[in-house]
Amino acid sequence: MLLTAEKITMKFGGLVAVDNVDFAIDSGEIRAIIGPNGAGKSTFFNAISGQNYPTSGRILFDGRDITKLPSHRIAKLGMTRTFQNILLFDDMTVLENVMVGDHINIKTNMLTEILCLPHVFREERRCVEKAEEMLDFVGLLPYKDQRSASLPYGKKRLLEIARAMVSGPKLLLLDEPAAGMNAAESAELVDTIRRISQRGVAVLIVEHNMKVIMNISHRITVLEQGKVIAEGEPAEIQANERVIQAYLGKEA
Amino acid sequence: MKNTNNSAKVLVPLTAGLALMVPLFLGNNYYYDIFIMAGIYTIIGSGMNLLLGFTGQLSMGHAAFYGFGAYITAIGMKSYGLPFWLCVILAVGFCFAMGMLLGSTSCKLSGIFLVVVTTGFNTVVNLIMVNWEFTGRSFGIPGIPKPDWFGSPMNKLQYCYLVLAFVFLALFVSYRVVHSKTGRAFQAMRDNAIAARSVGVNVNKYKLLVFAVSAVYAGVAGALYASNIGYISPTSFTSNVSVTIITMTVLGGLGDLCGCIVGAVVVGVLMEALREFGDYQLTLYGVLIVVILIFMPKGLMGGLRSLYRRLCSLVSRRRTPAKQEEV
Repeated sequence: MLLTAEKITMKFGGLVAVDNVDFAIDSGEIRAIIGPNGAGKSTFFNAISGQNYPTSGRILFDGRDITKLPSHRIAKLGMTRTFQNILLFDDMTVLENVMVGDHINIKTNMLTEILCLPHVFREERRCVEKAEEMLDFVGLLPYKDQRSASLPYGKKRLLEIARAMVSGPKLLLLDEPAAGMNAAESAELVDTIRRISQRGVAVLIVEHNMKVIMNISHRITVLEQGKVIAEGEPAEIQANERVIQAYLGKEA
Repeated sequence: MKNTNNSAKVLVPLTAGLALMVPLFLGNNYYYDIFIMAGIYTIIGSGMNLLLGFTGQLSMGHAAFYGFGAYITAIGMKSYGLPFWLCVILAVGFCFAMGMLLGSTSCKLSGIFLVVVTTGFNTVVNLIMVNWEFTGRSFGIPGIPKPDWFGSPMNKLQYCYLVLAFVFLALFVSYRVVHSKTGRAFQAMRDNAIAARSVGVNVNKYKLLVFAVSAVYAGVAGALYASNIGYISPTSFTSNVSVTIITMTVLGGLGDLCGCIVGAVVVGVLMEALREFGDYQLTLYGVLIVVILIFMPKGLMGGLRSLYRRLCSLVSRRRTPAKQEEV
Protein backbone atom coordinates (compact mmCIF):
# COMPACT_ATOMS: atom_id res chain seq x y z
CA MET A 1 0.00 0.00 0.00
CA LEU A 2 1.27 3.45 -0.86
CA LEU A 3 -0.82 5.31 1.69
CA THR A 4 -2.52 3.84 4.72
CA ALA A 5 -4.64 5.87 7.11
CA GLU A 6 -5.59 4.05 10.29
CA LYS A 7 -8.51 5.15 12.48
CA ILE A 8 -8.28 8.82 11.55
CA THR A 9 -10.42 11.08 13.70
CA MET A 10 -10.56 14.85 13.42
CA LYS A 11 -12.43 16.93 15.94
CA PHE A 12 -12.98 20.66 15.89
CA GLY A 13 -14.24 21.39 19.39
CA GLY A 14 -17.34 19.24 19.76
CA LEU A 15 -17.71 18.65 16.03
CA VAL A 16 -16.39 15.33 14.76
CA ALA A 17 -15.59 16.06 11.11
CA VAL A 18 -13.84 12.77 10.38
CA ASP A 19 -14.77 9.78 12.49
CA ASN A 20 -12.51 6.75 12.79
CA VAL A 21 -11.79 6.42 9.06
CA ASP A 22 -9.64 3.57 7.75
CA PHE A 23 -8.36 4.14 4.26
CA ALA A 24 -5.72 2.76 1.94
CA ILE A 25 -4.59 3.48 -1.59
CA ASP A 26 -2.31 1.44 -3.84
CA SER A 27 0.39 2.90 -6.06
CA GLY A 28 -0.82 3.66 -9.57
CA GLU A 29 -4.47 3.71 -8.50
CA ILE A 30 -7.00 6.45 -9.24
CA ARG A 31 -9.17 6.74 -6.16
CA ALA A 32 -12.09 9.06 -5.60
CA ILE A 33 -13.63 10.23 -2.37
CA ILE A 34 -17.21 11.38 -2.70
CA GLY A 35 -19.95 12.33 -0.30
CA PRO A 36 -22.54 14.99 0.38
CA ASN A 37 -21.48 18.48 1.47
CA GLY A 38 -19.98 18.51 4.95
CA ALA A 39 -19.13 14.81 4.84
CA GLY A 40 -15.54 15.56 5.86
CA LYS A 41 -13.85 14.95 2.51
CA SER A 42 -11.69 18.08 2.47
CA THR A 43 -10.91 17.75 6.17
CA PHE A 44 -9.70 14.21 5.58
CA PHE A 45 -7.63 15.49 2.66
CA ASN A 46 -6.03 18.16 4.80
CA ALA A 47 -5.19 15.60 7.45
CA ILE A 48 -3.40 13.37 4.96
CA SER A 49 -1.38 16.15 3.37
CA GLY A 50 -0.34 17.80 6.64
CA GLN A 51 -2.35 21.03 6.45
CA ASN A 52 -4.05 19.91 9.66
CA TYR A 53 -3.04 17.17 12.06
CA PRO A 54 -5.56 14.44 12.94
CA THR A 55 -6.85 14.37 16.51
CA SER A 56 -6.07 10.67 16.63
CA GLY A 57 -5.03 7.92 14.25
CA ARG A 58 -1.97 7.16 12.20
CA ILE A 59 -0.99 7.85 8.58
CA LEU A 60 1.66 5.83 6.78
CA PHE A 61 3.00 6.95 3.41
CA ASP A 62 5.45 4.80 1.49
CA GLY A 63 6.26 2.93 4.70
CA ARG A 64 6.87 6.04 6.82
CA ASP A 65 4.77 7.49 9.59
CA ILE A 66 3.77 10.99 8.42
CA THR A 67 1.03 11.67 10.96
CA LYS A 68 2.77 14.63 12.59
CA LEU A 69 4.87 15.84 9.64
CA PRO A 70 4.33 19.41 8.35
CA SER A 71 3.16 19.66 4.74
CA HIS A 72 6.53 20.73 3.31
CA ARG A 73 8.13 17.54 4.65
CA ILE A 74 5.30 15.45 3.23
CA ALA A 75 5.81 17.08 -0.18
CA LYS A 76 9.46 16.07 0.01
CA LEU A 77 8.44 12.44 0.51
CA GLY A 78 6.43 12.53 -2.73
CA MET A 79 2.88 13.62 -1.96
CA THR A 80 1.65 16.88 -3.48
CA ARG A 81 -1.77 18.41 -3.85
CA THR A 82 -4.02 21.02 -5.39
CA PHE A 83 -6.57 23.12 -3.55
CA GLN A 84 -10.33 23.48 -3.77
CA ASN A 85 -10.01 27.28 -3.95
CA ILE A 86 -7.06 27.40 -6.40
CA LEU A 87 -3.95 28.70 -4.65
CA LEU A 88 -1.45 29.98 -7.20
CA PHE A 89 1.45 32.39 -6.87
CA ASP A 90 -0.43 35.24 -8.52
CA ASP A 91 2.41 37.69 -9.14
CA MET A 92 4.69 35.10 -10.68
CA THR A 93 4.61 33.89 -14.27
CA VAL A 94 3.08 30.58 -15.26
CA LEU A 95 6.55 29.11 -15.79
CA GLU A 96 7.81 30.37 -12.42
CA ASN A 97 4.81 28.84 -10.69
CA VAL A 98 5.76 25.44 -12.02
CA MET A 99 9.44 26.04 -11.23
CA VAL A 100 8.54 26.63 -7.57
CA GLY A 101 6.85 23.23 -7.75
CA ASP A 102 10.24 21.66 -8.39
CA HIS A 103 11.72 23.33 -5.29
CA ILE A 104 12.55 20.08 -3.51
CA ASN A 105 14.65 18.73 -6.39
CA ILE A 106 16.95 21.73 -6.87
CA LYS A 107 20.21 21.14 -5.10
CA THR A 108 21.38 24.70 -4.52
CA ASN A 109 21.27 27.06 -1.57
CA MET A 110 21.54 30.79 -1.17
CA LEU A 111 25.31 30.76 -0.75
CA THR A 112 26.03 28.69 -3.86
CA GLU A 113 23.55 30.82 -5.81
CA ILE A 114 25.33 34.05 -4.83
CA LEU A 115 28.73 32.55 -5.59
CA CYS A 116 27.48 31.46 -9.04
CA LEU A 117 28.91 27.94 -8.75
CA PRO A 118 28.59 26.11 -12.07
CA HIS A 119 26.10 23.52 -10.81
CA VAL A 120 23.67 26.34 -9.93
CA PHE A 121 23.19 27.24 -13.59
CA ARG A 122 22.96 23.56 -14.54
CA GLU A 123 20.24 22.99 -11.96
CA GLU A 124 18.43 26.13 -13.13
CA ARG A 125 18.46 25.03 -16.77
CA ARG A 126 17.26 21.56 -15.82
CA CYS A 127 14.47 23.11 -13.74
CA VAL A 128 13.31 25.29 -16.64
CA GLU A 129 13.34 22.31 -19.02
CA LYS A 130 11.35 20.17 -16.59
CA ALA A 131 8.84 22.96 -15.97
CA GLU A 132 8.37 23.54 -19.70
CA GLU A 133 7.93 19.83 -20.29
CA MET A 134 5.26 19.76 -17.58
CA LEU A 135 3.51 22.83 -19.01
CA ASP A 136 3.47 21.10 -22.37
CA PHE A 137 1.98 18.03 -20.67
CA VAL A 138 -1.04 20.01 -19.42
CA GLY A 139 -1.15 22.18 -22.56
CA LEU A 140 -0.14 25.49 -21.00
CA LEU A 141 3.23 25.99 -22.69
CA PRO A 142 1.97 28.91 -24.86
CA TYR A 143 1.07 30.81 -21.69
CA LYS A 144 4.39 30.35 -19.88
CA ASP A 145 5.40 34.03 -19.71
CA GLN A 146 1.98 35.31 -18.59
CA ARG A 147 1.23 36.27 -15.03
CA SER A 148 -0.57 33.30 -13.53
CA ALA A 149 -3.37 35.54 -12.19
CA SER A 150 -4.29 36.45 -15.78
CA LEU A 151 -5.12 32.86 -16.78
CA PRO A 152 -8.77 31.84 -17.24
CA TYR A 153 -10.25 29.68 -14.50
CA GLY A 154 -9.93 26.27 -16.11
CA LYS A 155 -6.31 26.89 -17.05
CA LYS A 156 -5.53 27.91 -13.48
CA ARG A 157 -6.67 24.47 -12.36
CA LEU A 158 -4.36 22.83 -14.89
CA LEU A 159 -1.48 25.06 -13.78
CA GLU A 160 -2.01 23.97 -10.19
CA ILE A 161 -1.82 20.36 -11.34
CA ALA A 162 1.37 21.06 -13.31
CA ARG A 163 2.93 22.70 -10.26
CA ALA A 164 2.07 19.68 -8.13
CA MET A 165 3.28 17.20 -10.75
CA VAL A 166 6.63 18.69 -11.74
CA SER A 167 8.53 17.34 -8.74
CA GLY A 168 7.58 13.78 -9.73
CA PRO A 169 5.35 12.79 -6.79
CA LYS A 170 4.20 9.25 -6.03
CA LEU A 171 0.77 10.44 -4.95
CA LEU A 172 -1.18 13.42 -6.25
CA LEU A 173 -4.15 14.76 -4.29
CA LEU A 174 -6.75 16.72 -6.27
CA ASP A 175 -9.30 18.66 -4.24
CA GLU A 176 -12.39 19.23 -6.44
CA PRO A 177 -10.43 19.80 -9.66
CA ALA A 178 -13.57 19.99 -11.84
CA ALA A 179 -15.39 22.53 -9.68
CA GLY A 180 -16.72 25.35 -11.83
CA MET A 181 -15.51 23.80 -15.08
CA ASN A 182 -17.66 23.57 -18.21
CA ALA A 183 -18.09 20.29 -20.10
CA ALA A 184 -15.15 20.85 -22.46
CA GLU A 185 -12.84 21.83 -19.64
CA SER A 186 -13.77 18.84 -17.51
CA ALA A 187 -13.26 16.50 -20.45
CA GLU A 188 -9.77 17.94 -20.83
CA LEU A 189 -9.25 17.42 -17.11
CA VAL A 190 -10.30 13.76 -17.29
CA ASP A 191 -7.83 13.25 -20.09
CA THR A 192 -5.05 14.93 -18.09
CA ILE A 193 -5.74 12.80 -15.00
CA ARG A 194 -5.64 9.64 -17.14
CA ARG A 195 -2.28 10.61 -18.56
CA ILE A 196 -0.99 11.37 -15.05
CA SER A 197 -2.03 7.90 -14.00
CA GLN A 198 -0.23 6.42 -17.00
CA ARG A 199 2.97 7.94 -15.64
CA GLY A 200 2.59 5.66 -12.62
CA VAL A 201 1.39 8.34 -10.23
CA ALA A 202 -1.38 7.42 -7.83
CA VAL A 203 -4.20 9.96 -7.84
CA LEU A 204 -6.57 10.66 -4.97
CA ILE A 205 -9.43 12.90 -5.98
CA VAL A 206 -12.26 14.59 -4.11
CA GLU A 207 -14.99 15.62 -6.51
CA HIS A 208 -18.69 16.37 -6.84
CA ASN A 209 -18.88 15.97 -10.60
CA MET A 210 -20.16 12.39 -10.90
CA LYS A 211 -19.51 12.20 -14.62
CA VAL A 212 -15.82 12.84 -14.01
CA ILE A 213 -15.68 10.47 -11.04
CA MET A 214 -17.42 7.51 -12.66
CA ASN A 215 -15.34 8.03 -15.77
CA ILE A 216 -11.87 7.83 -14.30
CA SER A 217 -11.73 6.29 -10.86
CA HIS A 218 -10.69 2.71 -10.30
CA ARG A 219 -12.25 2.67 -6.85
CA ILE A 220 -14.51 5.05 -4.94
CA THR A 221 -14.78 5.69 -1.21
CA VAL A 222 -18.00 7.29 0.02
CA LEU A 223 -18.01 9.43 3.15
CA GLU A 224 -21.07 10.58 5.04
CA GLN A 225 -20.92 12.60 8.25
CA GLY A 226 -17.29 11.70 8.73
CA LYS A 227 -17.73 7.94 8.31
CA VAL A 228 -16.97 5.60 5.42
CA ILE A 229 -20.29 4.19 4.27
CA ALA A 230 -19.15 2.38 1.14
CA GLU A 231 -16.08 1.52 -0.90
CA GLY A 232 -15.84 -0.20 -4.24
CA GLU A 233 -15.69 0.09 -8.03
CA PRO A 234 -17.84 2.75 -9.74
CA ALA A 235 -20.53 0.27 -10.82
CA GLU A 236 -20.86 -1.11 -7.30
CA ILE A 237 -21.11 2.35 -5.80
CA GLN A 238 -23.76 3.41 -8.29
CA ALA A 239 -25.89 0.43 -7.24
CA ASN A 240 -25.25 0.77 -3.50
CA GLU A 241 -28.44 1.36 -1.52
CA ARG A 242 -26.67 3.15 1.32
CA VAL A 243 -24.99 5.61 -1.06
CA ILE A 244 -28.20 6.41 -2.89
CA GLN A 245 -29.82 7.07 0.46
CA ALA A 246 -27.05 9.39 1.51
CA TYR A 247 -27.42 11.46 -1.66
CA LEU A 248 -31.14 11.34 -2.31
CA GLY A 249 -32.64 10.53 1.08
CA LYS A 250 -34.76 7.55 2.07
CA GLU A 251 -37.81 6.61 0.07
CA ALA A 252 -40.98 7.17 2.06
CA MET B 1 9.64 39.96 -21.99
CA LYS B 2 12.38 39.87 -24.57
CA ASN B 3 12.12 43.58 -25.03
CA THR B 4 12.85 44.31 -21.39
CA ASN B 5 15.72 41.80 -21.35
CA ASN B 6 17.34 43.50 -24.30
CA SER B 7 16.90 46.93 -22.82
CA ALA B 8 18.40 45.66 -19.56
CA LYS B 9 21.52 44.64 -21.47
CA VAL B 10 21.98 48.27 -22.47
CA LEU B 11 20.63 50.00 -19.38
CA VAL B 12 22.57 48.11 -16.71
CA PRO B 13 26.08 48.88 -18.00
CA LEU B 14 24.93 52.40 -18.85
CA THR B 15 23.66 53.10 -15.33
CA ALA B 16 26.70 51.45 -13.76
CA GLY B 17 29.00 53.50 -15.96
CA LEU B 18 27.14 56.67 -15.10
CA ALA B 19 27.36 55.88 -11.39
CA LEU B 20 31.11 55.33 -11.78
CA MET B 21 31.53 58.69 -13.54
CA VAL B 22 29.41 60.82 -11.21
CA PRO B 23 31.85 61.07 -8.25
CA LEU B 24 34.50 62.53 -10.55
CA PHE B 25 32.33 65.60 -11.19
CA LEU B 26 31.00 66.20 -7.69
CA GLY B 27 33.89 68.37 -6.58
CA ASN B 28 32.97 69.24 -3.00
CA ASN B 29 32.32 67.42 0.25
CA TYR B 30 28.63 68.32 0.41
CA TYR B 31 27.89 66.62 -2.89
CA TYR B 32 30.14 63.69 -2.02
CA ASP B 33 28.09 63.17 1.13
CA ILE B 34 24.79 63.22 -0.76
CA PHE B 35 26.22 60.65 -3.19
CA ILE B 36 27.47 58.46 -0.35
CA MET B 37 24.14 58.66 1.50
CA ALA B 38 22.25 57.72 -1.68
CA GLY B 39 24.55 54.70 -1.98
CA ILE B 40 24.00 53.72 1.64
CA TYR B 41 20.23 54.09 1.21
CA THR B 42 20.41 51.91 -1.89
CA ILE B 43 22.13 49.13 0.05
CA ILE B 44 19.69 49.22 2.94
CA GLY B 45 16.78 49.63 0.51
CA SER B 46 17.68 46.57 -1.51
CA GLY B 47 17.76 44.57 1.72
CA MET B 48 14.33 45.91 2.63
CA ASN B 49 13.13 45.12 -0.88
CA LEU B 50 14.11 41.46 -0.48
CA LEU B 51 12.16 41.39 2.78
CA LEU B 52 9.12 43.50 1.95
CA GLY B 53 8.98 43.44 -1.83
CA PHE B 54 9.91 39.84 -2.55
CA THR B 55 8.88 38.04 0.63
CA GLY B 56 6.06 40.28 1.87
CA GLN B 57 7.38 40.50 5.44
CA LEU B 58 7.34 43.88 7.12
CA SER B 59 10.06 44.96 9.52
CA MET B 60 9.83 48.27 11.33
CA GLY B 61 13.10 47.46 13.07
CA HIS B 62 15.66 47.83 10.32
CA ALA B 63 17.15 51.00 11.78
CA ALA B 64 18.29 48.79 14.66
CA PHE B 65 20.40 46.66 12.32
CA TYR B 66 21.64 49.82 10.63
CA GLY B 67 22.62 50.93 14.15
CA PHE B 68 24.34 47.63 14.96
CA GLY B 69 26.54 48.00 11.89
CA ALA B 70 27.34 51.61 12.74
CA TYR B 71 28.14 51.01 16.42
CA ILE B 72 30.19 47.88 15.77
CA THR B 73 32.27 49.82 13.27
CA ALA B 74 32.56 52.89 15.50
CA ILE B 75 33.59 50.98 18.61
CA GLY B 76 35.71 48.48 16.71
CA MET B 77 37.72 51.07 14.80
CA LYS B 78 37.98 53.70 17.53
CA SER B 79 38.31 51.74 20.75
CA TYR B 80 39.97 48.56 19.50
CA GLY B 81 41.79 49.86 16.45
CA LEU B 82 40.38 47.15 14.21
CA PRO B 83 40.61 47.63 10.44
CA PHE B 84 37.40 48.66 8.63
CA TRP B 85 36.95 45.41 6.70
CA LEU B 86 37.10 43.38 9.90
CA CYS B 87 34.40 45.60 11.43
CA VAL B 88 32.23 45.01 8.37
CA ILE B 89 32.65 41.26 8.76
CA LEU B 90 31.75 41.50 12.45
CA ALA B 91 28.71 43.62 11.57
CA VAL B 92 27.63 41.09 8.96
CA GLY B 93 27.89 38.21 11.42
CA PHE B 94 26.14 40.03 14.25
CA CYS B 95 23.32 41.35 12.06
CA PHE B 96 22.79 37.92 10.51
CA ALA B 97 22.29 36.43 13.98
CA MET B 98 20.09 39.26 15.24
CA GLY B 99 18.09 39.19 11.98
CA MET B 100 17.37 35.50 12.53
CA LEU B 101 16.28 36.30 16.07
CA LEU B 102 13.86 39.00 14.93
CA GLY B 103 12.79 36.82 12.01
CA SER B 104 11.83 34.01 14.35
CA THR B 105 8.94 36.17 15.59
CA SER B 106 7.59 36.36 12.04
CA CYS B 107 7.03 32.59 12.04
CA LYS B 108 4.28 33.08 14.59
CA LEU B 109 3.13 36.63 13.87
CA SER B 110 2.07 38.56 10.80
CA GLY B 111 0.54 41.85 9.78
CA ILE B 112 -0.02 44.42 12.49
CA PHE B 113 1.39 42.13 15.21
CA LEU B 114 4.69 41.84 13.39
CA VAL B 115 4.77 45.63 13.05
CA VAL B 116 4.34 46.01 16.82
CA VAL B 117 7.06 43.49 17.65
CA THR B 118 9.60 44.88 15.20
CA THR B 119 8.90 48.46 16.31
CA GLY B 120 9.41 47.31 19.88
CA PHE B 121 12.70 45.69 18.92
CA ASN B 122 13.87 48.95 17.35
CA THR B 123 12.86 50.92 20.44
CA VAL B 124 14.62 48.54 22.84
CA VAL B 125 17.83 48.63 20.80
CA ASN B 126 17.62 52.41 20.63
CA LEU B 127 17.12 52.69 24.39
CA ILE B 128 20.15 50.50 24.98
CA MET B 129 22.21 52.81 22.76
CA VAL B 130 21.00 55.83 24.73
CA ASN B 131 21.69 54.36 28.17
CA TRP B 132 24.76 52.15 27.83
CA GLU B 133 28.17 53.58 28.75
CA PHE B 134 29.81 51.31 26.16
CA THR B 135 27.85 52.90 23.29
CA GLY B 136 28.53 56.46 24.48
CA ARG B 137 25.02 57.04 25.81
CA SER B 138 22.97 59.77 24.18
CA PHE B 139 26.14 61.68 23.14
CA GLY B 140 27.06 58.90 20.78
CA ILE B 141 30.56 58.23 19.51
CA PRO B 142 32.62 60.99 17.87
CA GLY B 143 35.89 60.73 15.97
CA ILE B 144 35.34 57.51 14.02
CA PRO B 145 38.26 57.10 11.62
CA LYS B 146 38.05 56.51 7.86
CA PRO B 147 39.22 53.19 6.44
CA ASP B 148 42.87 52.96 5.45
CA TRP B 149 43.82 53.07 1.79
CA PHE B 150 47.43 51.93 1.43
CA GLY B 151 48.50 53.45 4.73
CA SER B 152 46.59 56.74 4.62
CA PRO B 153 42.92 57.36 5.47
CA MET B 154 40.57 57.39 2.49
CA ASN B 155 39.48 60.73 1.07
CA LYS B 156 35.85 61.42 0.13
CA LEU B 157 36.32 60.52 -3.53
CA GLN B 158 37.85 57.16 -2.66
CA TYR B 159 35.06 56.61 -0.15
CA CYS B 160 32.48 57.23 -2.88
CA TYR B 161 33.98 54.34 -4.82
CA LEU B 162 34.09 52.14 -1.72
CA VAL B 163 30.37 52.73 -1.21
CA LEU B 164 29.73 52.17 -4.90
CA ALA B 165 31.55 48.83 -4.73
CA PHE B 166 29.25 47.76 -1.90
CA VAL B 167 26.21 49.00 -3.84
CA PHE B 168 27.19 46.86 -6.83
CA LEU B 169 27.80 43.90 -4.53
CA ALA B 170 24.42 44.37 -2.82
CA LEU B 171 22.55 44.61 -6.12
CA PHE B 172 24.41 41.62 -7.52
CA VAL B 173 23.56 39.51 -4.48
CA SER B 174 19.89 40.56 -4.72
CA TYR B 175 19.86 39.77 -8.43
CA ARG B 176 21.33 36.32 -7.91
CA VAL B 177 19.00 35.49 -5.04
CA VAL B 178 15.89 36.67 -6.86
CA HIS B 179 16.73 34.73 -10.00
CA SER B 180 17.21 31.38 -8.34
CA LYS B 181 15.52 28.81 -6.16
CA THR B 182 15.76 30.90 -2.99
CA GLY B 183 14.18 33.97 -4.59
CA ARG B 184 11.39 31.93 -6.12
CA ALA B 185 10.68 30.45 -2.70
CA PHE B 186 10.57 34.00 -1.27
CA GLN B 187 8.06 35.15 -3.87
CA ALA B 188 6.03 31.97 -3.55
CA MET B 189 5.56 32.45 0.19
CA ARG B 190 4.70 36.11 -0.36
CA ASP B 191 1.94 35.14 -2.80
CA ASN B 192 0.63 32.14 -0.90
CA ALA B 193 2.30 30.49 2.08
CA ILE B 194 0.00 27.45 2.17
CA ALA B 195 0.63 26.65 -1.48
CA ALA B 196 4.37 27.20 -1.01
CA ARG B 197 4.41 24.68 1.85
CA SER B 198 2.45 22.20 -0.25
CA VAL B 199 5.26 22.00 -2.82
CA GLY B 200 7.93 21.56 -0.16
CA VAL B 201 9.05 25.09 0.65
CA ASN B 202 10.05 25.28 4.31
CA VAL B 203 8.40 28.65 4.87
CA ASN B 204 9.73 29.24 8.38
CA LYS B 205 13.32 28.54 7.33
CA TYR B 206 13.07 31.03 4.47
CA LYS B 207 11.50 33.64 6.74
CA LEU B 208 14.49 33.43 9.08
CA LEU B 209 16.83 33.54 6.10
CA VAL B 210 15.30 36.63 4.51
CA PHE B 211 15.22 38.53 7.79
CA ALA B 212 18.86 37.64 8.41
CA VAL B 213 19.97 38.62 4.91
CA SER B 214 18.14 41.93 4.86
CA ALA B 215 19.56 42.68 8.32
CA VAL B 216 23.03 42.09 6.88
CA TYR B 217 22.34 44.68 4.15
CA ALA B 218 21.34 47.17 6.85
CA GLY B 219 24.41 46.32 8.92
CA VAL B 220 26.79 46.91 6.03
CA ALA B 221 25.04 50.20 5.29
CA GLY B 222 25.48 51.18 8.93
CA ALA B 223 29.19 50.40 8.86
CA LEU B 224 29.63 52.59 5.77
CA TYR B 225 27.58 55.36 7.38
CA ALA B 226 29.57 55.44 10.63
CA SER B 227 32.94 55.60 8.97
CA ASN B 228 31.83 58.27 6.50
CA ILE B 229 30.14 60.64 8.89
CA GLY B 230 32.71 60.15 11.66
CA TYR B 231 30.17 60.70 14.42
CA ILE B 232 27.15 58.63 15.36
CA SER B 233 24.44 59.07 17.96
CA PRO B 234 21.28 57.10 18.81
CA THR B 235 19.00 59.60 17.03
CA SER B 236 20.17 58.25 13.65
CA PHE B 237 18.75 54.82 14.47
CA THR B 238 15.24 55.46 15.82
CA SER B 239 12.13 53.79 14.43
CA ASN B 240 11.53 56.99 12.42
CA VAL B 241 14.54 55.96 10.38
CA SER B 242 12.97 52.53 9.88
CA VAL B 243 9.92 54.29 8.45
CA THR B 244 12.15 56.25 6.05
CA ILE B 245 13.75 52.99 4.91
CA ILE B 246 10.34 51.49 4.16
CA THR B 247 9.10 54.69 2.48
CA MET B 248 12.11 54.72 0.20
CA THR B 249 11.60 51.08 -0.79
CA VAL B 250 7.89 51.48 -1.47
CA LEU B 251 8.50 54.74 -3.34
CA GLY B 252 11.09 53.11 -5.58
CA GLY B 253 8.91 50.10 -6.32
CA LEU B 254 8.40 46.91 -4.34
CA GLY B 255 9.66 43.72 -5.89
CA ASP B 256 11.70 45.63 -8.46
CA LEU B 257 15.46 45.24 -8.20
CA CYS B 258 16.14 48.71 -9.60
CA GLY B 259 13.41 50.27 -7.47
CA CYS B 260 15.62 50.73 -4.42
CA ILE B 261 18.18 52.72 -6.45
CA VAL B 262 15.52 55.13 -7.67
CA GLY B 263 13.93 55.29 -4.22
CA ALA B 264 17.26 55.93 -2.49
CA VAL B 265 18.37 58.61 -4.92
CA VAL B 266 15.01 60.37 -4.87
CA VAL B 267 14.68 60.31 -1.09
CA GLY B 268 18.33 61.26 -0.57
CA VAL B 269 18.19 64.15 -3.01
CA LEU B 270 14.66 65.18 -2.08
CA MET B 271 15.53 65.57 1.58
CA GLU B 272 18.42 67.84 0.65
CA ALA B 273 16.54 69.75 -2.03
CA LEU B 274 13.65 70.48 0.31
CA ARG B 275 16.01 71.69 3.04
CA GLU B 276 15.63 75.33 1.94
CA PHE B 277 11.93 75.15 2.76
CA GLY B 278 12.94 74.80 6.41
CA ASP B 279 10.02 73.86 8.59
CA TYR B 280 7.93 72.84 5.60
CA GLN B 281 10.52 70.26 4.51
CA LEU B 282 8.83 67.23 6.09
CA THR B 283 5.35 68.34 5.03
CA LEU B 284 6.36 68.77 1.40
CA TYR B 285 8.21 65.47 1.55
CA GLY B 286 5.08 63.72 2.81
CA VAL B 287 2.82 65.34 0.22
CA LEU B 288 5.17 64.42 -2.63
CA ILE B 289 5.27 60.79 -1.54
CA VAL B 290 1.48 60.58 -1.31
CA VAL B 291 1.11 62.15 -4.76
CA ILE B 292 3.69 59.86 -6.35
CA LEU B 293 2.11 56.75 -4.87
CA ILE B 294 -1.40 57.76 -5.96
CA PHE B 295 -0.30 58.11 -9.56
CA MET B 296 2.27 55.29 -9.54
CA PRO B 297 1.05 52.57 -7.17
CA LYS B 298 3.92 50.33 -8.23
CA GLY B 299 6.43 52.99 -7.25
CA LEU B 300 8.60 55.20 -9.39
CA MET B 301 10.24 52.25 -11.12
CA GLY B 302 6.84 50.75 -11.90
CA GLY B 303 5.81 54.10 -13.36
CA LEU B 304 8.96 54.32 -15.45
CA ARG B 305 8.47 50.79 -16.75
CA SER B 306 4.87 51.37 -17.84
CA LEU B 307 5.95 54.64 -19.47
CA TYR B 308 8.66 52.73 -21.34
CA ARG B 309 6.18 50.06 -22.44
CA ARG B 310 3.79 52.73 -23.69
CA LEU B 311 6.59 54.36 -25.68
CA CYS B 312 7.56 50.97 -27.15
CA SER B 313 4.02 50.17 -28.26
CA LEU B 314 3.71 53.68 -29.73
CA VAL B 315 6.88 53.19 -31.75
CA SER B 316 5.90 49.70 -32.93
CA ARG B 317 2.42 50.93 -33.89
CA ARG B 318 4.01 53.52 -36.13
CA ARG B 319 6.34 50.93 -37.60
CA THR B 320 3.87 48.16 -38.43
CA PRO B 321 1.82 50.01 -41.06
CA ALA B 322 5.06 50.98 -42.79
CA LYS B 323 6.11 47.34 -42.95
CA GLN B 324 2.78 46.32 -44.39
CA GLU B 325 3.26 48.81 -47.18
CA GLU B 326 6.59 47.25 -48.05
CA VAL B 327 4.91 43.85 -48.38
